[in-house]
Amino acid sequence: MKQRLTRNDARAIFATSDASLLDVIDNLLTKGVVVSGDVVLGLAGVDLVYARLSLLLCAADRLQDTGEPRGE
Amino acid sequence: MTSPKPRNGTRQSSLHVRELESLRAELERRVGDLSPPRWNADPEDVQRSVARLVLTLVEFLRQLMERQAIRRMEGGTLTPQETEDVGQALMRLEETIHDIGRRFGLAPEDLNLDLGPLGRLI
Amino acid sequence: MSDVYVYALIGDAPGPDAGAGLREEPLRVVRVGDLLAAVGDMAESPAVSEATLRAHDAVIRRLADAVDAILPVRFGSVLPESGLDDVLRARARELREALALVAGRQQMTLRVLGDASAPANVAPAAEIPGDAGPGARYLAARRAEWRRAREAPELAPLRPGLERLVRAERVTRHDTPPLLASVYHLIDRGAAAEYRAAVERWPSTDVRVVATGPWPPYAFAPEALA
Repeated sequence: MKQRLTRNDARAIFATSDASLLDVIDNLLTKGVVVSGDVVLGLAGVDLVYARLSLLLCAADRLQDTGEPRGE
Repeated sequence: MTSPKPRNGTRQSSLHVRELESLRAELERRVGDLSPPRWNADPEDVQRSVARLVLTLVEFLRQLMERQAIRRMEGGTLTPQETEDVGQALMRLEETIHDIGRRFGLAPEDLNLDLGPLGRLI
Repeated sequence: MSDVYVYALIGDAPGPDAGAGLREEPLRVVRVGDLLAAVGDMAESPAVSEATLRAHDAVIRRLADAVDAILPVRFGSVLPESGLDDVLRARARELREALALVAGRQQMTLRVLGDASAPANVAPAAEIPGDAGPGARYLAARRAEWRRAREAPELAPLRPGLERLVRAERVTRHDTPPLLASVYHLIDRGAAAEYRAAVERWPSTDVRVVATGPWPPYAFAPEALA
């Protein structure tokens, strides 16, 4: 499985005066349900580890199926 | 569904150049550089790199907890004692993070990693 | 199991006219508990470009026309199909509630523009008991800040005209003049023309408002850890 790590070409989307593209960027890249993320770890400017994360952050008192809320 | 393009003609229906630029800059700031967030320790100042990562993560978790505490306070599911205790703990945690940061020459604004899809902390 | 690109959570399975994914791959519906996810088989996340963003938006729009309730997922969400269960199951309740909110509805986006932010609303002091300790006062102050960051007082004159059309609201403050805030309104399908008319009837003063839409309800995903 390959992941895109390039930055330069992707930033081209910001070099726009198209208001409708900005709306699309807003909707697709800052909104929507978040289900995954990734991070790159490195040393001395060298990327060494790529980690893909399936994000699970949930309010503790709203857990379902996995454990009871404490107290109360 | 109709096209998202604004209609022409009426004075309120489209952004002026300056406004468009402002929106563009703000989105660029929020979205970041579109590649996965990186942590890359600076070999010249490893201690500061490590401190910055650790403190940023702790501050991120502190803000997550603070948001839940506020939500629970508003929803009435914290007792007055719990509200006081959690509030004090959050205060002290924030002070501690700033104190440790200062020792490494890190201002609060430095503790702001791009967390990719989670956005930036601030 | 292989990787999938997750497009959206949906309330019911779309018919055959749901269209294809952004690489022309067939869309599949995966069930996680009582949630449905629309996915496409894809080995790697597509590069971000105008073309891929618009293609993703087109997929979401076609899907939105084929189902009653849709919660779009962030662009570029690729994960193992087996990982969907972990991610979605614990959040099932809030996702179901969000789906119920957006059923039969669309999003209008308002950009609030002007040269200075409206003065901040002061949090009512009455909510803090007089004998509250420092921890409670700290939380109350932080709550006031969180609320201010989610409010658009500039819209007050516009609200009477919009009130009966708006089912839900999300606000992102920018406070970088001329861009003061983005406000996302959930309206019933079919109400977009009426909504625009109400916005355009409002005479611009030192604050302008520009509306776009209708969009699928991108901004109405459950707030992270709300």
